[in-house]
Amino acid sequence: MGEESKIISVTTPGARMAKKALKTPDNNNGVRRSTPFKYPIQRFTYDGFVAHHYTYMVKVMHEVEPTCFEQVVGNPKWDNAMDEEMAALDANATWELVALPKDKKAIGCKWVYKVKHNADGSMSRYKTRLVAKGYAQSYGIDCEETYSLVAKMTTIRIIIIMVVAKGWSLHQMDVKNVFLHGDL
Amino acid sequence: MEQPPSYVDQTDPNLVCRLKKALYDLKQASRAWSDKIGQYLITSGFQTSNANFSKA
Repeated sequence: MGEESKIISVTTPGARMAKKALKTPDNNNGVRRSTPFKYPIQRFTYDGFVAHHYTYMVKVMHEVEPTCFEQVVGNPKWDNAMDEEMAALDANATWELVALPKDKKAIGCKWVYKVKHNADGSMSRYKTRLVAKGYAQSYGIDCEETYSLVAKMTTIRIIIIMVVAKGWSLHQMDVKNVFLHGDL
Repeated sequence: MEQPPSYVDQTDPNLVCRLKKALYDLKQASRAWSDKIGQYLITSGFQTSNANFSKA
């Protein structure tokens, strides 16, 4: 890995401004039109990657992740993924269908889409998740207690130190779909 | 919550979802999880630390 990084810096010009970005946008009565870039870092390009990095990037970027539901209508691979997620939500008894009380507004929800890749960049699976539009909730009306206690970093360090000092073994775990387990 | 896009009940499209479990991006989601795991850990015999308790 160290060897490769060295080669990159010697044989390539490294980061440089994209040609597109160097063009001054047409001036309209002195008013500067906005560039097509949302973030300043988008104006930089870099072409000094080694071959297998290119291969990886091509694989990873080959498939575009849809940003909204309209883009996946009628697409069987995403339909399947959504069916799976709906089945899981059903099995979990996440909600029941009820009539909306008078003068109340329901918060929205949306699907988010993610293409999962293996470490070598090959396709792993199409994943969808239903998320609630939590930003539409207001404190005191839709929800009250939202504070969540967390472990302090110092506590975690002390535990690691104790493990080392006493020769214990330490286990680490991950909870899948963690936020779907909580009861409301 | 409104019914999810493309999974709206055909017979009752006007009904809404009354959530019984948390969903991603709900304001209560992290709190709901911390309550849940806290209860589980205590019934499993763990005790809260006095110095840094993560279960109220």
